Amino acid sequence: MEAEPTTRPTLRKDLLSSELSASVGFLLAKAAELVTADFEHSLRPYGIRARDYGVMSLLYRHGALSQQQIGEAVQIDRTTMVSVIDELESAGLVERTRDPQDRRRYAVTLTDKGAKLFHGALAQVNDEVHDAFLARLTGVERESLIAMLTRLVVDDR
Amino acid sequence: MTERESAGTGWLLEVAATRRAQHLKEALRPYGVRPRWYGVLIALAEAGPLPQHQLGELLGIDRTTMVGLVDRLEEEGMAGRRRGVDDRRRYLIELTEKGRARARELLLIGSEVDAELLSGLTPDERAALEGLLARIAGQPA
Repeated sequence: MEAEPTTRPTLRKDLLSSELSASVGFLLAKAAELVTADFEHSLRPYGIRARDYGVMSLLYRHGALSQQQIGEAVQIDRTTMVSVIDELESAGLVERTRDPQDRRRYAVTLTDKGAKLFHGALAQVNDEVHDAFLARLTGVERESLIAMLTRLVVDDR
Repeated sequence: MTERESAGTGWLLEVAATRRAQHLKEALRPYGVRPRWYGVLIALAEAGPLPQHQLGELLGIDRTTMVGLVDRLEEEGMAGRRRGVDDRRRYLIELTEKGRARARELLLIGSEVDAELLSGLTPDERAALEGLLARIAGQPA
């Protein structure tokens, strides 16, 4: 599947001198913004947003989770979380069931339709977007990027 | 490496960037500065006077929001609009002396936030990370 060219914001390096462009933090923010914009664009035909993908990915890996657990994991506030799950539920991709341990709570799971979509088309979109995004890096460079980012994310606490 | 592994890069970037944004926001709070202001002030300090649309492109801020931000900066005496030399219909946004001083102050805060974020990496690794990010986030060669 060929993604349409996106109107992604590009980093005008020619406009920047030393310090801002040398700020890893700025580049990090920019890179995250770019890959998310590409991803959002490629997910659009499926009616899925990047954050929906994040939620589905979590449910795919962990099975049933409470809304609160999902919200904490993907850093989405409680109110937004409810509407994200509402939308996924009305699309038939997830379902809420009562938690047998605590009947006041709901557990959210992927439906068969949701699991199939995630594992099939969405996984492919994700691969394609990342392949294009990282096209300028060699395999070794990709590995090194991922290793360093993982340490940033994990080491920080 | 498998494709599936590199497919997690976006998520890692997102988590790292979110964390950096939170830290920056916290660090800027005592100065009464929002992260967006930070971006605008620093970009103007670095890139010099810029047309509004280029400033918006650079920072990924839409036109309407950008107008509001520049208005606020003008009110605070940190930036001004002046007519372009090449194209007199176009306004350039430039920092005032007050704006430049503020930008220098904020740049230090930003460096501290970055240093803390990257404290788990060696200097060589930091340089490598910067190079890799610049290549994926930069313009097509």
